[in-house]
Amino acid sequence: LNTSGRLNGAADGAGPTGPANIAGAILLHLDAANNLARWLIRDEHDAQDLVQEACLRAVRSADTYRGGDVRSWLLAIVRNACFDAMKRSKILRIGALGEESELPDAGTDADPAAILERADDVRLIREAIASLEPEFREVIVLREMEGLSYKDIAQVTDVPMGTVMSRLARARRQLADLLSRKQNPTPGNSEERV
Amino acid sequence: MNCDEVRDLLHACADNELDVITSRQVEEHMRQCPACQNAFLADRAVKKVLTNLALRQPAGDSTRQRLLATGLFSQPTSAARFDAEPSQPQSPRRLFNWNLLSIAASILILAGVIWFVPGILSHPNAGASDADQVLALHLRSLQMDTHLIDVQSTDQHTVKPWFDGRLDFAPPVHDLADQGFPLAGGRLDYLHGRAVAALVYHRNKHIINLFIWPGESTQSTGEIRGYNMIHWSAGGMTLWAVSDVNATDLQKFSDLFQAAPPGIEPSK
Repeated sequence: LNTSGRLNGAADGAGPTGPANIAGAILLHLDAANNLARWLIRDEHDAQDLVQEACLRAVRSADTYRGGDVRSWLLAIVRNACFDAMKRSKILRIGALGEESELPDAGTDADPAAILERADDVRLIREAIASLEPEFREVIVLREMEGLSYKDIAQVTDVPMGTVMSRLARARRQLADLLSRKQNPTPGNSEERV
Repeated sequence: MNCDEVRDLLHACADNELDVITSRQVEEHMRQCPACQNAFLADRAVKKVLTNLALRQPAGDSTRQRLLATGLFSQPTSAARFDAEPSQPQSPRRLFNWNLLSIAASILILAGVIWFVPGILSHPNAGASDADQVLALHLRSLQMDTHLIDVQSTDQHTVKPWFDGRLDFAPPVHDLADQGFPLAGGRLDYLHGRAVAALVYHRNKHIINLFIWPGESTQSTGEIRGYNMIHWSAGGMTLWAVSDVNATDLQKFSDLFQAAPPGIEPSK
């Protein structure tokens, strides 16, 4: 029996735990935080201000960090700040999403090849994502752009895994339908300013 | 499974977040249902389109500078950088960390102690999760006849292309029949939420499972509950061989596999 090195596969989140390292980690996840905020809050400066506030709040409450993935912890703080801002400016239509979620999943007749043809049309993809409800938009951003697991998304958005899954499914169906259309998708459902 | 049940699971299937049995049921359904298959392919197309990096909106320097100016944030340390590894879901992470040298030193001492204890692979930290999971996959593959092999072939030129489109990487495949380890086939398996390649080899009456996924790691050998395991990495892949053959034979298998001529090299 021998071993020439340590084995791979440390537990997730085996990152830094000290407050100094938390501060460093927050800075290194700044891009992820900014990306999420920019997709939730349309105005660039409002989004930047929210991210900055959220990062300051995070570093000041570093002692509330209970281990695990620093990124998920930070993104949850940023996400909540964005939703609070949207609620304040009444952008968020409370309850609207719940009704829609009751609809059965009708699947899609979108043509996968047509979707792939749009892969380089950044403006069109942006518009399609922007037209999603915020709850759908955030799961798309967290999964497809930030690469979070369902478990981490559930933690960030504070909903059960099953809700994460159904939101992701519906968000992708909507994007598939929007992107496979020949004409441009309809513009965003709301002007999101704070 | 009916269409409604499958529709709820399709995207999780596209994300490799389903367990093996459920994903197999979904795949089985899709073989007979063009509508569900189309929905699945549409999901995959959407995922692919969203990988366009131009969609991401990283923080500007001004935000970073403003935060640094508060004095609450240290400059990024390598310790923190470790935590900010690229964001592939469940990808294996590197463990090296300059800022935690003291911890590393204690781990080295610990490793020295554990050296004398049989079953290093079952140490609760570090590789335990990989080793235990690999063994669990091996045992399950043996319990279910239908699960052992998805593509049954002794020809590496049949097995290797079979993985195309089923994995986001190209695993190395070598037939070692001439050296006493004939290739029996391959299958998909799931580890840490991602799809991995499993190659099946025979050694006399024994079965060797070789699990492959992208990632670098150091080499080790060991034994859990009577099963021998060898673990190495090459060409950007992490490989785990597990079997009830004796340790010498498994080592020979590992050496042969690593020495096999690169007939078809892993493309990435």
